[in-house]
Amino acid sequence: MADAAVVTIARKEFLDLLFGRRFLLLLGILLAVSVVGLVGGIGEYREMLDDYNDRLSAAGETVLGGAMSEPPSVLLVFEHLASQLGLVLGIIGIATGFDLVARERETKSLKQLLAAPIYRDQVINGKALGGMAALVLALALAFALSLAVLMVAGIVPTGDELGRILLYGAGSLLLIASFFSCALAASAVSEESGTALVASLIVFAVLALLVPVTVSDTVMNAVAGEAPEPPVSFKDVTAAVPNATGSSVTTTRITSTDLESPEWRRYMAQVQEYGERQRTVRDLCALLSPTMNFDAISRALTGSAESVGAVRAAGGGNVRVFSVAKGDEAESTGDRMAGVAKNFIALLVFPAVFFGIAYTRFMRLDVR
Amino acid sequence: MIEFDGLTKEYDGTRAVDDLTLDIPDGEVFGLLGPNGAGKSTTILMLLGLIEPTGGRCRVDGIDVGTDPREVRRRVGYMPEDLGFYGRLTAAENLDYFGRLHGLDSATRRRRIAELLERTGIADATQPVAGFSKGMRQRLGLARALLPDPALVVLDEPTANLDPRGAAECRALIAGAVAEGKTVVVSSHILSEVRRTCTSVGVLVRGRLVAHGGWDEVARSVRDDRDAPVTIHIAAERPLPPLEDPAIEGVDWSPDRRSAVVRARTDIRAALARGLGHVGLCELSLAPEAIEDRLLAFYETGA
Repeated sequence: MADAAVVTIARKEFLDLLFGRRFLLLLGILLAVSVVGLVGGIGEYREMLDDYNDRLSAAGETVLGGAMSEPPSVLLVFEHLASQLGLVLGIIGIATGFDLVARERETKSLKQLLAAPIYRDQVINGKALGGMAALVLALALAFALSLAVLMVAGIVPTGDELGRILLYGAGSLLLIASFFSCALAASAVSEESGTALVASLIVFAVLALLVPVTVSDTVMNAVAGEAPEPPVSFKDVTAAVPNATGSSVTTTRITSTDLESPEWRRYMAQVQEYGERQRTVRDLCALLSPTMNFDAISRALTGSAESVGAVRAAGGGNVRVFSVAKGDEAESTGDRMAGVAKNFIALLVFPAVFFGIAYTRFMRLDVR
Repeated sequence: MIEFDGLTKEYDGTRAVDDLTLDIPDGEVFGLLGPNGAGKSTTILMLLGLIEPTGGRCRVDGIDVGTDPREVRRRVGYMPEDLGFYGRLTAAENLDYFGRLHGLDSATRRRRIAELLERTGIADATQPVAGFSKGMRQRLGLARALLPDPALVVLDEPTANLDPRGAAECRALIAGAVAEGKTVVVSSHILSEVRRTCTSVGVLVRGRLVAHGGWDEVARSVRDDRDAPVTIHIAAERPLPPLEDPAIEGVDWSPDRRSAVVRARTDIRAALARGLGHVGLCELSLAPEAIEDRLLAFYETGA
C-alpha cells in the first residue's frame, strides 16, 4: 500500500506534466536546442578532424607536444552542445518542479489529498518521482534524437564514446535533478506558485550565473595570480596560454631555435603551472555550482581539458605552438571519471540537499 | 464514534480550540455549529490528523488520531469547505485517483464510482472538472467523501455557496448517507442548515464548546439566563385547558384545542409541563425559529 500510494501520485504527476502545454513546450525547446547544438558541434568536429588530418598529412611531421596522437573525439560534438544545454536543462528542471506543491495549495486540493489514508512523505516522494520520471523521459528523447542526428551525419560513436555519452547523460540528469529539486523545495516553502517560480529563478541565477562568473573568476584570479610573461626576447611573440574557460586551439609561429632555448622552456613550464593553478581553483569553485559541475564533467568526458603542445615540421622548419584538448591524449574513461568524481558527487549533493529541504518543509506544512 | 478529550489548539498564543471535550455516538448526524473563526475547521483538521493538537486528544472508532492518523483517515470521508479538484481530470478520474489513494481495488473503484456518479447526478463524468459549476463540484465533493464507504463522513460547510435547489440536493445526499448507517458530522455557520440536517449539535464560540446535545437541550443551555421571546409548540392527546402564565403574550389554538402555538416572553416550557401533566402531552417544544433566534443572539454577543 505504501508503494502503491507513491506510484499513484507519481503516475498522476507524470501524466499531468506530460499532457501539460508547458512541459511539451519545454520538451520542444530541449529537442530544438539539442539538434541545433549538435549540428554546430558536428561542424566544429569536422573542422577539427580536417585540421588533424592536415597536420598528419603534412609530410614527415614530428610530434613535439604530446597531444596529437589521437584524432578528435565524437564527444566534442556533445561538448559544443553542453554550453547551451546547461542553462536549458536548469530552466526545464525549474519549470517542472516549481508548482508541484504550490499548485495543490492554490487549487485547494492539498487538504483533500492529505486527508487520504496515506503518509505525507508518500505525497512528496510521489511528486518528486513523477516529476523526475517526466524529466528522464525528456532527456532520453533528447539523447535518442542526438544519437539519431549523429548517425544521420555519418558519425558512429565507438563503444568507449557511447559509454562516455551515457555518462554525459547521467551528468545531465543530475544537473536537471538539481534544479528540479530546488524548484520543488521552493514550491513546498511558498504559498503560491508565482513566488515559488521567482525563488527558484533567483537560486538558479545565483548557482548557474553568479557563482560561475563572479565567484569563480574572482577567486581564480586572486589565487592563480597574473599570467606569466614571456621572456623578453620573445615579447613580440604571443604564445598560447591554456585558457581555463575555453578549449580553442591557438597557434603562433615561432622559430625552432627559440623553442629549444632554456628561457622558452622555462616560460612554457610556468605557463603549464599557471594553467594547472587556474584549473584547480576553477574546479573547486565548480563544486558550488551545478552548471559548473556539469561543465567540468562535460569537458572531462568530451575530452576538451586543455594542454599545451607544439609541432615542428621535419627538417627544422616552422613550429606551431597550440593549446589543445588534453583528452585527445589516450586517457581512459575510468581515468576521466576519476578526475570528475568530485563533480558527480557534488551534483548528487545538490538534489539531495534541495529535496531534503522540500521533504522537511512538506512534512511540517500547515494545511489550514 | 468520535471522542474529543480536552482537545486544544493554540496558534501564536491564541486558542483556536479550547479544551474541547465531546462524544459523538455512532449513527448520529452531528452539527458543529459556530460563527466563522469559531474553531470548527481546526477541530475537523485535528480529527483527521492533519493538524497536531497543542493538548488533549481525539479518537475515532476507538483509534487515537495522534497514534495512527492514517488508520483514522481510512475510516473518514472528508469534504472540505474549499473543494479542490484536478481540473484536467474528469469527475470519474478524480474519483478514481482518490479511490486508489484509499486503497480501493480496481473492481470496487469502478462500482463505487458508477454508483456515486449516479447518486449525485453528475452527468458530465467524462468532461474535465475544470468546467464544472459550483453545484456540480459540490456534488463531486460529496461523492469523493462517500467513495471509500466510510463509517464517518465529515462535511465542512457542505451547502455554502449553493442555491436552494443545490442545498436541498446536498441534504438529500446526506440523508442517504445517514440511511446507510454512517455517522455524519456537518460543520457549518448556517444555523438553518444545521437545524434541517442534524439531530444533535455542538456550538463552538471562540474555540469553546458552549453548548451541545439535542436542539432543545442546546436552546435551553444557550442564553437561558435571558428573557427572550419564544414560540412554543404544544400538542396533547386530550383538549388543552386554558393556559395561564404571566409570560404568555398570545396563543393560537387548533380547532380541536389539542394543539397550540404559544408566544411567550421567555421559555416557560417547564411551567407549562407542570400544569399540563393530566392531558397526555405529546409535544412541548420550542419552534426552530426560536432556537435560531437565541443562537443568533449568542453568536453576536459571544459566550
